[in-house]
Amino acid sequence: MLIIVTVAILAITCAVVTVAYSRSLLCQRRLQRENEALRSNIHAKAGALLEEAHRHSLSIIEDANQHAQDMLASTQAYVDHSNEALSGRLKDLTDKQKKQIAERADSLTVMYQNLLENLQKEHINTFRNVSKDIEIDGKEELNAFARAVEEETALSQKELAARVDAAYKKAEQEIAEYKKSELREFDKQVEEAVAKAAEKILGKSLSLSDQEELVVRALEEAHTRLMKSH
Amino acid sequence: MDVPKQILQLIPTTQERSELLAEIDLLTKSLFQEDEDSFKNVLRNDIGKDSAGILSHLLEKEESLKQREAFLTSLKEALLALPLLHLTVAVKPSEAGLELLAKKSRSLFAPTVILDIVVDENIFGGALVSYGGRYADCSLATKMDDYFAKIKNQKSHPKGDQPLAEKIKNTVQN
Repeated sequence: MLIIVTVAILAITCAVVTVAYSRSLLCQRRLQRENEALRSNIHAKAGALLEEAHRHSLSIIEDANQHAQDMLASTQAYVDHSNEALSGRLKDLTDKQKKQIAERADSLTVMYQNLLENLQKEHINTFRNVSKDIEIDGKEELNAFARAVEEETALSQKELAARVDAAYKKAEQEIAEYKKSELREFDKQVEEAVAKAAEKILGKSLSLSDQEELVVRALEEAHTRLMKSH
Repeated sequence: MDVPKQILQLIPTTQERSELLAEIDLLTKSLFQEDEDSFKNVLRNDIGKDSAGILSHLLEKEESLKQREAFLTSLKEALLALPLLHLTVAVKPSEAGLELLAKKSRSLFAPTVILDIVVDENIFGGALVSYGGRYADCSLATKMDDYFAKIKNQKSHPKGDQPLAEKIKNTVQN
């Protein structure tokens, strides 16, 4: 029974499921058809829109080109007009500048002429004064130089006299030294010569009796001297 | 004991005195020899003839050994006490010259003076004399030096001579 019931329930459930499935399939097919219809509709609308947009763009571009041409035309005209105006203006300015420069040049010329004249006058005066100053200074310098020369001359004479004195003293000393040196050398030579001569002459010429006689005299002389000193 | 001055005056120089002193020593030694003839032998053989003659003559009076010894000792002391005269000469004197110098020295300085002679030819002549601690240069070399020094001084400072530097100075200034 239970099995029957169960089978029955299962049969019922299957039937229900089958029905639900059938309905779902139907619903799916209907939705698919609607979707396709919608897609085609959207395609058609999109193409129309694109076409419309294309036409609109073309018209805009044409308008823009037209406007640009118009602007270019107007700009050229303006440029032409501006050039003409600028040329005229420049010409006016040039003329005006020329005139001003000429006037300025004239005034500068006059001013420089006056300035040069004044400078010339001043220089002339300056040169005159300088000449006078040079003359005065020159005289003073000449006088100072003359005084300095006189002083230097006097000083030089004194220095010269002092140098001459010093030279004389030095010469005196040198001559005295030389004289002493020469005398010493001379004396030395004389002494040597005399000693040699005396040695030769006395040693040979004095006989033994002469020598003994000299010794006797020496004894007498020594006695006299020693007695005096005693 | 007194020593006769005659014997002392017979000695002219220190050389003779030294010789005599040596002879006295020999005689003194011979007095004490065992040989009795020793004294006579020394007098005969070892003593100079002159000295021997004088000494034998003098010793004749002294007969005993002690008297002879005393005499010799006194003689020796007297010889050593003789005054000296140092003499430097240029040439060694002859015997006659030596006697002459001794005689002259005794007459001038003292009767018993003896000469101490040194030879130095550099003095040329004359003598250097030293007696009783005093000295006198009487040499010919010194006299020559003095003479040339005098001449040199006369040349160095002639009268009225103007120094050469002074002459130059005066010439330039004028």
